[in-house]
Amino acid sequence: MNPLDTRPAPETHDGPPTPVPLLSVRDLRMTFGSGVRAVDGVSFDLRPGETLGLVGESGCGKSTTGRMIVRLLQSTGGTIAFDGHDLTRLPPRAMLPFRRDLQMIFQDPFASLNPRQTVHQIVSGPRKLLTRPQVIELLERVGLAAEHADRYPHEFSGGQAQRIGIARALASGPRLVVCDEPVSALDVSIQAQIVNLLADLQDERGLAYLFIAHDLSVVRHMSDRVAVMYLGRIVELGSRAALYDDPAHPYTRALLSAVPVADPDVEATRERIVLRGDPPSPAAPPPGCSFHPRCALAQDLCRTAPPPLREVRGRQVACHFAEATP
Amino acid sequence: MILQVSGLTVGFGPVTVVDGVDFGVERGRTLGIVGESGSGKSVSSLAVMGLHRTARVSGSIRFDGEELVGAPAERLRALRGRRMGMIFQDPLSCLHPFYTVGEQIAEAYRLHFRASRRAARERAVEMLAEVGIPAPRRRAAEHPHRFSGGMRQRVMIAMALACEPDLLIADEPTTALDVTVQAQILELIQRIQAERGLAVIMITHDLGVVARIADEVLVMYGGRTVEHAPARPLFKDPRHPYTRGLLASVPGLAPSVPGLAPSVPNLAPSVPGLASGVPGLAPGAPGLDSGEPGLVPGALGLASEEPGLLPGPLGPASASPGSGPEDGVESGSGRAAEGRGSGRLPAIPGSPPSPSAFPPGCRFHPRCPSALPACTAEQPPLRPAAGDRKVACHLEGALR
Repeated sequence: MNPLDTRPAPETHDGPPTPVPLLSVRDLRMTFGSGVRAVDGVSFDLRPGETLGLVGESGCGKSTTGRMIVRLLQSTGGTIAFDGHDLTRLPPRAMLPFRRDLQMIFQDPFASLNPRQTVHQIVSGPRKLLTRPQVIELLERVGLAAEHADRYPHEFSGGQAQRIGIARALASGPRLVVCDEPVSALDVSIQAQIVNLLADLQDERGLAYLFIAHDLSVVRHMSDRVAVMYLGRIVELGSRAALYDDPAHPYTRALLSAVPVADPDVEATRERIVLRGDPPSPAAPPPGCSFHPRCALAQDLCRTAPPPLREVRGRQVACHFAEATP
Repeated sequence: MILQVSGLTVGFGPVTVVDGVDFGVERGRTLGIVGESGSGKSVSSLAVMGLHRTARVSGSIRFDGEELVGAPAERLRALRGRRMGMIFQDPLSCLHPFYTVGEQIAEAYRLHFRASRRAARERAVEMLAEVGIPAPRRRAAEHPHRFSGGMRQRVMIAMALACEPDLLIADEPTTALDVTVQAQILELIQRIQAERGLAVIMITHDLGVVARIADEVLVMYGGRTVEHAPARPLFKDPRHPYTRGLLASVPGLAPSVPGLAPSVPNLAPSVPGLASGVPGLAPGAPGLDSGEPGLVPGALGLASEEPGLLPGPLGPASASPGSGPEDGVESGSGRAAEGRGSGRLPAIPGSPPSPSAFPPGCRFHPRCPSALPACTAEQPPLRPAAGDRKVACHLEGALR
């Protein structure tokens, strides 16, 4: 059980049931030239209108996964089926119709906006998808004003620039938006504004989000289901309630216990699992379960056999001893 | 008090970035300084270290009874690194890439204690062992690029503590680190503090980090202190509307019960007649145009968060129906309980002011849900309030 939870566990069921996934990722791999396996066999589904949170520490492959899905990176293995079409081998021209459906919001709003284009040019895009009234309507929807359309990115604060990035992503009317750390570069008081905006837009437009972040509390707030990545693999994938209230993988538990909570009483009394050492390098992953060198539960089996992702207590988890957890 | 700062004011050219801030810290205690960008939290700590070359620094900084404002550079140099240590957010940019970490840790020790190279090298190895770096003798001979982010921060801590200082200033020491590594570094700082009776000033934007390690908290906004309180009362019963808003806007990890209001007191003032008419948000109010180059009056509330506060044309257009600050928790998503069950976050509208254009009066008033006409004109003084704390708000006592 989550050490913070003093109430009875809420019932767990696996998100809104929709038969056809919008996005279906199977055994996705990314091996860089140096032999680094940044993403090593990742599979998940994303239903229309759903948010899947993707969490993990730096180097776990979460951003690489997001970039492969929008084809900013060419995957080296596996399939990405969007609406039933495999995107991984499409030539650039054939990919174009799907680009309207698949958009991305980036971490650093300034780095992702062209400094030499006005907001109008950025939002309407190279293919001039939108007319000026449409651009203005969209800017107003994300909390900017009509007169912002003719300004340049440097004239805005970080939170406003992120609103421009969101408007840009929505201009083509996407069905899936990959949000890669959309609030982590923003001031604390601005983060909540952007999180609320993303949530409202999702409700209005039925967007599906792949919400990539290292901040577990923001992911919890946004997501229907959550996947935890470690060293290029998903180690646990399940409903938000299952993951946060009853984490089954020792790594998920350690992550949750490491997040400081803004309550001194909780901080003074909670049990904390402090992991020793750093995450290993994806260039030389440990044999067996890649988490075993840092795991308190590790047995001989963990050092030799990689645990498969399997169903335990209503979620998928890759741990030989997931049942044995307290 | 090992450190007592009073009336600290720091300016760069015509811009006053820190405006009359008081704080202090005792041996063995931790002061957390919380604020967003432009709040002056880092500038205050750099002033304590005497690291501002071109700034105007006034007020008083007394370290162990000695006045540091106006002290000769040589005196500051003798204290810095020896009795006051500092660690920063990005350890890689603070480590010299050409020298081994052992040489860098040894340097300050050699200068301050006139130790031999050999003795200083031994001290460096000892320090690396103390901060939990495996094989310290071998690692001391390696260059910074061979260390991971967490290990580099350990090296920085070893460097800051090699001369056994009395005060450690940590400026966002874990912000660039992963959460599991952050936990290791915080644990290390707490262990060393307990062993040596070190006074610690922890500067951060992360309220969770402050709750974990601070005894006392200073909340800064726009270069001034808005609230100064012992940690427990600050988190349990925040008094200043900014502190309340900040705590409310951070999603927690505690399990959510659908429809449950956030555990933060209501922001609506209980004084009759206050709820309507927010002067700070009226178009053309001073400070709005100047605050942000790209901001128009009316767009300040940007957000859809508080349509009731926005008479401007944007308000209704950008608001989702029924999402006022009070009912915001229940509204928002129409999804099943399994969906975004925690609903909307109670966000603070607008953005933090830039130091070159602080609004007049209370610097928080353009974003404050409870602002009165007086707030736009008069800066509230930092006054003592219930529970051994100080709050700078005209409405202190009237808010519930």
